[in-house]
Amino acid sequence: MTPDDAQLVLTQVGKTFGDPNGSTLMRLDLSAPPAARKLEPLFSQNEGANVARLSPNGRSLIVGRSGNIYACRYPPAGDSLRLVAALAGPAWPFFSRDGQLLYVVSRQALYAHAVEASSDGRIRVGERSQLFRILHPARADANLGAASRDGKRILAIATDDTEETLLQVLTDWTTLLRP
Amino acid sequence: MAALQGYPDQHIWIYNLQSGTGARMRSLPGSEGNPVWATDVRSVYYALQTAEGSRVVRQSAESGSLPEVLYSSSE
Repeated sequence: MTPDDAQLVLTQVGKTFGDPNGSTLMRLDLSAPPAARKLEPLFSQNEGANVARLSPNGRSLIVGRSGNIYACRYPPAGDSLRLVAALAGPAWPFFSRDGQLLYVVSRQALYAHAVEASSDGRIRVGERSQLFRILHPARADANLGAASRDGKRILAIATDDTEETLLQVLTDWTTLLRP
Repeated sequence: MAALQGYPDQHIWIYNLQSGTGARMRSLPGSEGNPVWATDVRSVYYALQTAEGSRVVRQSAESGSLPEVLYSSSE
């Protein structure tokens, strides 16, 4: 959501749940009359995403796709996404309230990158530092963390049970179905 | 705090972290997802998946408020 509540950036998922290549980054202009509102692709080429986040000032867009984090100005104005960080596993990024840090939940840890932003919204991120270890349950697949409004606390979906971090595969699951 | 709870349909609950109390938002039929707060933190935007298609909804976080459909797409 842009700071003026005028535009919503979202991912339109495809037929394969969780597949970033099957999703499309879209924009919804809420300032348009309701009957005229339509989803518009943010990029001319399909840029799949697991998660998209705008910076608090609304000038930068961060996109998480598998273990990679990309950035560009917002609105993109013809820019394409640029890789700014790569992690070894799926990553869920979110900004601090002042936009000076980019937090990332990935591989059972919470990391922070310092953010350098230019006035036009282009950003660079610094080295990654690990803040905390977090066991997040496998069933939680979005919004794994958020910063409080005062910027002093982080809320994260976590568990103490390592069993919950594992993906479980059921074989012969049809035998469990009730008639 | 806005949180998703429920299975198979998910619904948004609003929690007051100071009092520890929470309540489910009054909702439309379907499964809700991906809540984000408005800038003034008084309302929540979220996706609603129904049998007829997807919706983008805005709803005040105040108890008993009604959802407002901002966008509908048919499938």
